[in-house]
Amino acid sequence: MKIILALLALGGAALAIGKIIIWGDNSVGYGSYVPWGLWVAAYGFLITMSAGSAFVANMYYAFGREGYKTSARPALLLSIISLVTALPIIGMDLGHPFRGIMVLLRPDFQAFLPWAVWSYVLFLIVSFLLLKKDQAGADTRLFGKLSLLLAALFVIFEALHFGTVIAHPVWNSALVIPLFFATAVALGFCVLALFGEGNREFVRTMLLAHLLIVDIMEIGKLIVEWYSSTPAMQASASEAVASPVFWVFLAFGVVLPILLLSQRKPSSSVVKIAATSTLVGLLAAKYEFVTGAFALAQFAELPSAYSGPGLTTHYIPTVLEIGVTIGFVAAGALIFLWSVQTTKQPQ
Amino acid sequence: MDLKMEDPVVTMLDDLAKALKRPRSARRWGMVIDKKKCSGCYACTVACVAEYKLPPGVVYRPVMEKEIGQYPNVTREFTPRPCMQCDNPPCVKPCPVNATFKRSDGIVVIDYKKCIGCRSCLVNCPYGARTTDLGKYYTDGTPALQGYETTETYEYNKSWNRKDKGASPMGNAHKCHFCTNRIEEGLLPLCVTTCLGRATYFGDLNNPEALVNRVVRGRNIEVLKSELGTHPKVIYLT
Repeated sequence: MKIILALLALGGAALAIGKIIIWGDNSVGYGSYVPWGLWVAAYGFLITMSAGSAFVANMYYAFGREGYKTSARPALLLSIISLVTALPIIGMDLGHPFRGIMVLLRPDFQAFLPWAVWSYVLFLIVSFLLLKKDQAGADTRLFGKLSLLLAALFVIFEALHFGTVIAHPVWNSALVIPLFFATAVALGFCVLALFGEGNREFVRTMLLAHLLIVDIMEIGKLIVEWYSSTPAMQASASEAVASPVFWVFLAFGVVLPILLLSQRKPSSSVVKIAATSTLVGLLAAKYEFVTGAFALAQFAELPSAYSGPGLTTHYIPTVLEIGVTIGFVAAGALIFLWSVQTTKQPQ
Repeated sequence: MDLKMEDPVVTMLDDLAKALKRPRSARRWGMVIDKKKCSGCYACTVACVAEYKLPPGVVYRPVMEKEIGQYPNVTREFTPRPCMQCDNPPCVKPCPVNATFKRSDGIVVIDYKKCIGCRSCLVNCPYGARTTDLGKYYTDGTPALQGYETTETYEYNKSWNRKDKGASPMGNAHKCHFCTNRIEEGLLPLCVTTCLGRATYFGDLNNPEALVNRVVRGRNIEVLKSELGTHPKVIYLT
């Protein structure tokens, strides 16, 4: 397993270096009319998962909830590693990856992105200190609360980064914030299901409840788009239904986990399968959320007005985009496995 | 023959010279496009691409074409779409490093050296007026790059070239800037001077006697996506 992850990580790193040094943006599928693609979706998903994991970890560290104790340490590690994995992925998405640091050093706080980036940095610092305190057996309540607050903040800033875009009615809604929050909490309970050894019935119920909230919001969003008379909304819904990614969401993010989690007293492995399926489904939902907004250009006539690479609303991620994403996620998974094995379990 | 009476370009050049005598903050550049005059010749698009040596996939002023009605009562409408230079530009606020901003004369510009290439501005422009330079050449896949792809070009009063792979302006957001480098030298934007039907007017909106203001009087006007509150400074006569 570790060897496969290491090979995938090396492959991803090689592709990433190739993109920076040789190919540049020449090798990507996104362009001017679909400016954000797989990398932004993967970044958004990993950030949300980081916040969800922080939620699970800090239920124990901040509030001392015993049901979360066994999964607190791996959840905190996953939270840190998800975030650390998300950042190079979004760095690859930049036209000038090395200038990305300027968001931190010379930010313009009119935009929400610098607020998010500063929240990431503070979250990482606080969470590392929290980990140290946990390893030393010290009181974790203050740092746990701070870690939770910062995780909540970066989810809000990420949601606002999308929700304030007046150019895309599919995103331009305050509902983006509860959607991102609910997704984060559902992902947190997936983490609890995968790594926790506590009350299985509690985990099952909480995962099912939060998954239902996310699914109702996602499907509700699709229905609203479908019924809308706004062409961009209709186009987004039509493209979603025609896209295999949407059906992946429906199968793995709705039908399968709900069926599995609705069973009376399911076994631990059934809950784990449901949690894994939910992770896949919600990744698909995030991809649809990001790319669906670009189903229609700002003017229907625009793509035919001038032709050239990137002047299309048709987007398929390239091999490089997919390879880099898989490689970076594999690297994150490898670091996670290693860190879970090497860090001491809480007393 | 009184040339000023004959050609609006000469009138607009006079207006431009007057505007340049005032401080930059007292000017407010705007454009008026007469859709009834636009014949869809694409001279403006081509002139702009040639002037700024725009690479594949980058365009500042496409001309959108729409067929209206049903046979036999069909008309074709052409809508040139430069940057709207909005008074309330939605592309400026989301820039995380202040690389794009509105100058005191109302023109929205990009600092290529600051731009990190996050494309947040592209996503936020409701007019699709920004494109990204993906680092492509017209001669990709051929034995040699041609001179026109790497030669110097001038934008924002600076010289740029696309010789070094990955260096700005590659990887950056691009947009129409009303030919800032030309207007500061007393020249009209290229799309104005190359317009065969004289359908594009340009000038200082703060001067009520400028041609750009006079041509609007008594005409039906259209402002694209006015409901968004962006207050574009490009107005269409219909």
